[in-house]
Amino acid sequence: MKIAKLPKKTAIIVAAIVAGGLILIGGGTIVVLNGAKEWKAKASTSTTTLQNLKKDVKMLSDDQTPKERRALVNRLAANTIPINCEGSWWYGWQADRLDSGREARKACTSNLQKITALQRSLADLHMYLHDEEKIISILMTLKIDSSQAGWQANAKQAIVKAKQATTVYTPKSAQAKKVLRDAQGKLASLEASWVKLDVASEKQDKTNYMTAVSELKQAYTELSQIADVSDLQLESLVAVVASHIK
Amino acid sequence: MVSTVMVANSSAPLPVSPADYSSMRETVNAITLPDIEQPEWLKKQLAQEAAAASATQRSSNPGAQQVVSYDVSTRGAVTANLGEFKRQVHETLNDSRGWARLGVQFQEVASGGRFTMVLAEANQLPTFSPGCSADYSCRAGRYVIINQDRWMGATPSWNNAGGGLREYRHMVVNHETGHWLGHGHTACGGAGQPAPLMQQQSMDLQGCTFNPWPLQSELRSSQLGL
Repeated sequence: MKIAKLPKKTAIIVAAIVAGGLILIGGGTIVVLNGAKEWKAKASTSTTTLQNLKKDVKMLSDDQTPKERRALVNRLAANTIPINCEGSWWYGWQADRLDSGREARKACTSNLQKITALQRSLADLHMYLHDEEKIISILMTLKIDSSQAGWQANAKQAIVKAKQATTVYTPKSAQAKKVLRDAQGKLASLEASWVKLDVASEKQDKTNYMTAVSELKQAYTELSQIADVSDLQLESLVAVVASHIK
Repeated sequence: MVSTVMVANSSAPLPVSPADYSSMRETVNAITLPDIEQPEWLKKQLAQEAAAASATQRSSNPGAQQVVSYDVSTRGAVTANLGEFKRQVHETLNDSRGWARLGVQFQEVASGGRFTMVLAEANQLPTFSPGCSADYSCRAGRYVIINQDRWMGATPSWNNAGGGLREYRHMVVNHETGHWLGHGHTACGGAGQPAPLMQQQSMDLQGCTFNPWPLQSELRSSQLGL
């Protein structure tokens, strides 16, 4: 058979079109394959990151002091995890058009939501612990050194200062606000009992004096209820963290 | 980025005990009210009242000569009824079968008593003295400490021997007060005999029968000079 010979110019154009087509097909294939690889990597990275974060959170179960444990909560809550489940312009479209991309983005998004929820619970716990430390530092000033002369005056002064400190401090954590409110109530009881004792003493009123001594003892004993309130808040916050690492 | 350290016990649940994270309870438990010294005017009033009470007591009970004041306090998380504790302690100490036979009247005061009767949470006992166990009641210096667990439930050996709770309470209050009065421990004098009050009946009756009251032979007190 005899093949008609094309004119030279036309042959060059055809060759260029064929070559261009081949380049486009090859390039497109490379883009598609690399895009699929990127999506797969995103899903895989998000899975690994979630698993690693859970492992790190479970380190809270290790033997350590409360201070070390609080430091770990602080560190975990402060971590920035650079994950996003959006693709770049050259392969992002695969999540809308190809099943493999769609599945990968779904897995990545699900992991990211879990990471975000876990980190939020850690942040809430951290915020509470931070506020609670401040409240503890205020309450610590109430500790009485009875070996010092005039310890009663010191004790009363400490209560006044602690009351002021609790009104100045505003916790960020809603749970810590409850603890602070309880502490403020207990401080008010302490102050009122001391005043009652002083008044009874001034009047040399034995009955009221003895009642005031009993009430004062009771008011100091009831300080332990602040810890009860604190325990409840803390347990619920830790339970939320625990629910995210199951 | 988060570290990826492998954790051996990664299946362990999170510690949920607040004490694992917080020192709040430790802090508030450390804030206690020391004994408030009675003002002079109150001491005078109490002395006058005690003298009057003593005179009344002497007229009705010629043996009563000395008024011994004590105050009551608590330590730790006390859930027992404090009012009942105070009432029963007072009844026991002034019972005609007890230390009152020394010719002593025990009087509860708000503070500054000669000894302090403490109702304490069991785990607080060792805080009074290293010699005090969380399992039993104890006396440390001026403190006569009743272990709340024992107050609420006596001891297995006592219960097994058929002792009642009120009897146990008589015994433990009298026994620990006996230490404050100056007594050490004694042993069972012989099987079937009433146990001396100062025998450690909470632990073992040693063949004796339980007895919450001081024996005649125990009626003395180096503390009170009697």
